Amino acid sequence: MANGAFNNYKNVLWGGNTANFAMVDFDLDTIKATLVDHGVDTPAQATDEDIADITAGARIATATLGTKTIGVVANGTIDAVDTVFAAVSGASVESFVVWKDTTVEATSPLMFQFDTATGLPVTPNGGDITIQWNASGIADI
Amino acid sequence: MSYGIRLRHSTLTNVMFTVPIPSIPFAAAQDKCPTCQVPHQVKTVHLWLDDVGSVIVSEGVLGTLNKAWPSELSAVNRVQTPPAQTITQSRNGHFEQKIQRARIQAWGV
Repeated sequence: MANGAFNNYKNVLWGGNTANFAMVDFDLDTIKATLVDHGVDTPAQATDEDIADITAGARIATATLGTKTIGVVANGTIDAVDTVFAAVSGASVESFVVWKDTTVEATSPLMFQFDTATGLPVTPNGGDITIQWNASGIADI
Repeated sequence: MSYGIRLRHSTLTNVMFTVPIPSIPFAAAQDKCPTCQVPHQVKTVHLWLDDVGSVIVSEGVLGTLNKAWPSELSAVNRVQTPPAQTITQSRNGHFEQKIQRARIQAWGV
């Protein structure tokens, strides 16, 4: 897959699938990023809906997005400060996903997956790994 | 507090050395690797060797390499404070392009 949004999130964005997922309030909700080892599980944007759909063993590290904004970088654009994964000790990583954490995995929707970025795949060295979000913001509509 | 393990290649320097792990096939088809520009069929560890042929890896990466250890690599020492790494997000092929296209279509433009 290329960088993109999960199909389920596209529906949630417009108020769909409310039986399973609440709408995402990007700047108020807890939004996380997770580094994924495709050797264990490759995220499927077409069918994966929530973080439970990515095998726990494939989730190498998770960090919470900080200082999130909507419409500050540009109208309709979401952004956050760069995200730091502290002292990553796991296997190599082919992509990362952004998701909303409701504290219940089955209701925590996957939002975006990025498998094309400078530095991917990344081979952790035991130190910190920082995702430097694009200057134009993480995503927009 | 995590640490890294410094590896050294016996001959190569200043190059990316890839180690395919045949025992870890990808269950799903992969896009082209953004680094190698080819789709890998199996888990592949990418090692950026420095000017003396060294690279620092995590314990997890070491565990993966142990499944297909290349004879040219040797473990040198433990590194207590590995350097930070950065992934820079790309916006090409991004979600918003699809949304904008849909909007234009909805407007009949």
